[in-house]
Amino acid sequence: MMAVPAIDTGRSVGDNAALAEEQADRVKAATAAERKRTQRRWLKALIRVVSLFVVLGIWEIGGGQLDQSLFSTPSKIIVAAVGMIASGELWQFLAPSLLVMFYGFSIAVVVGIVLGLLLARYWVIDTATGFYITFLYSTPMVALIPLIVIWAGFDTAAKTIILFLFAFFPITINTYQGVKNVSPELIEVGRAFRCSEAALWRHVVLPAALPFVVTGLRLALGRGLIGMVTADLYTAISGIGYLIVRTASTYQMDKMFVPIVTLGLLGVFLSWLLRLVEIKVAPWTRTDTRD
Amino acid sequence: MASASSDTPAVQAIQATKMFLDGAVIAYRNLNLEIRAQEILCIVGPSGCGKTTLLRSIAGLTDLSSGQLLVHGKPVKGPPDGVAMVFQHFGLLPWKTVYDNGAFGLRMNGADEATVKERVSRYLDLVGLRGFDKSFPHQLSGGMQQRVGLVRALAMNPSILLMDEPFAALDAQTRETLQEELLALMQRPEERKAMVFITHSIDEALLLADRIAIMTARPGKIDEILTSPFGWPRDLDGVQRNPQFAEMRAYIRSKLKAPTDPSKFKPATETA
Ligand SMILES: Nc1ncnc2c1ncn2[C@@H]1O[C@H](COP(=O)(O)OP(=O)(O)OP(=O)(O)O)[C@@H](O)[C@H]1O
Ligand SMILES: [Mg+2]
Repeated sequence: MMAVPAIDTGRSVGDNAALAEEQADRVKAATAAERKRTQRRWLKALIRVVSLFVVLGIWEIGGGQLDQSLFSTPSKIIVAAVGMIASGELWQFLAPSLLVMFYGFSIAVVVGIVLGLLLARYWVIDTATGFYITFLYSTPMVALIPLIVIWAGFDTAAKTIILFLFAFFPITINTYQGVKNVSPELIEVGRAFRCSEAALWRHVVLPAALPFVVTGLRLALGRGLIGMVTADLYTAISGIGYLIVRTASTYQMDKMFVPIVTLGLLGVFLSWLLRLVEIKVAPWTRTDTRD
Repeated sequence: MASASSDTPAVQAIQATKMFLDGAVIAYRNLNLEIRAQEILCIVGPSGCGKTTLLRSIAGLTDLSSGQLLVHGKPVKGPPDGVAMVFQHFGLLPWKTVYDNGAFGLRMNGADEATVKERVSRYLDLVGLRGFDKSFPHQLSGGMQQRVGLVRALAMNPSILLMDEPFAALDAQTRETLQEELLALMQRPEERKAMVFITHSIDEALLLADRIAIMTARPGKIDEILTSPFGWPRDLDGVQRNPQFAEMRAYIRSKLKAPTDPSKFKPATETA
């Protein structure tokens, strides 16, 4: 925390030299804090690299002793990955799955946020439809897939619906919770300063709910990835799911791990992207600026 | 903002009653109070006697159960014109910068950006927050955050300033600094306004008040109103050195300790 500047009200036009000195101190403090943060970041990166080497090393040595038709090693997987990327095979199967992910997730974000806000704002809508949402959220989505196939076929449309259903609920529910959890104290501040309802939503409720919404998006991403592979496996077997099934059924263990690792990396990458967006749109939730 | 002729009381409560939970909890009952224009009224009283509720009623944030409450001579229906509030919990919006928080009240009341800029900058300077315009509340100390709360209210140029234990969450030194700043501000003729200041600190009440209202609990009502013997201008040292300071302080403390009705003493077994 910064020190309280000792400026009293009697002295409205402050002493410029003192003010400049204070400004310099502030810059100094900011630089020192930044240096400390950078050091800590590097240290953490180093620890992770070491850990990665140890785990991969154990896998490499241990994995090599096992039956290679059931198990593979990191070096073999890397070789397979390079081959699959160079030949375009990985991308060929990943692209259609990503497209489904993109469609389904986008629709889920829009519908989820809008519905969450409506449910939170209008108690009639909440009372009339809230229990369907609870019910559907509690139903394992996989159980609905045969029905979706009957209705929408085996292709992109069906897969998009499946993805939507996997991703939609956490977004709606978190948006709803975010609005319901806005501190009554802040709402009262808005009312005390005579906000209109629209202004109250814009300046108080929506920003306060934003971190919840982002958490919902993060949950939805995880579920969306599950939905993506599930859709590939349970409808027309295609995309990245097909790649896993095909390589597994032919005991190409090294090639099979490539799409699996790719999915993991994809999840990490998307969460990281979301975190960047969050810092951009909700800078007050940043925790790393504190000492 | 609202202009009321100086002889209309700023606030007038007539047999005002506020109950919660279908009448199970009485915040205050049959309360009569008059706050004159430009007067600083400090309210002290035990916890739970209805001080915050009274302030929220004046701010139009909650309805009366019965009786009348007038602000600038008009019955309160929703937040009245010319009233601004400073909260014990600061109530800053974490997603807005210091400047935007300070501008919030003005903007919500439709001020144009030129006015906003002029007034917010002026009060940010006045409370020593120059250069912090772009900081966010979480980057500030508690004392600085409450200064922003003060700027937000003052920038609206209210004719009535409501303060609910504004300095209670601060450490003793910061509290004293802010008390002195507020005192200095209220001695500027152009800044003087009616102020209702709730506090648990008798010293703070003695320092700031024209009059001090002592509230009692269950049901909350105004027990006694004392007129401050300290004239204007005044300062912390002068007030505390005045022989009447210790006397008044002892008196108020004894009032707050001893309920007027001895039957309201709780048996010792219940207090632990
Ligand atoms: N919204 C509410 N619903 C129900 N009861 C309430 C509500 N607000 C206040 N009360 C009750 O009304 C009484 C007065 O509360 P109030 O907050 O006004 O007291 P206070 O004098 O400000 O106390 P403190 O000094 O602790 O801040 C208390 O018994 C409190 O529990
Ligand atoms: Mg209170």
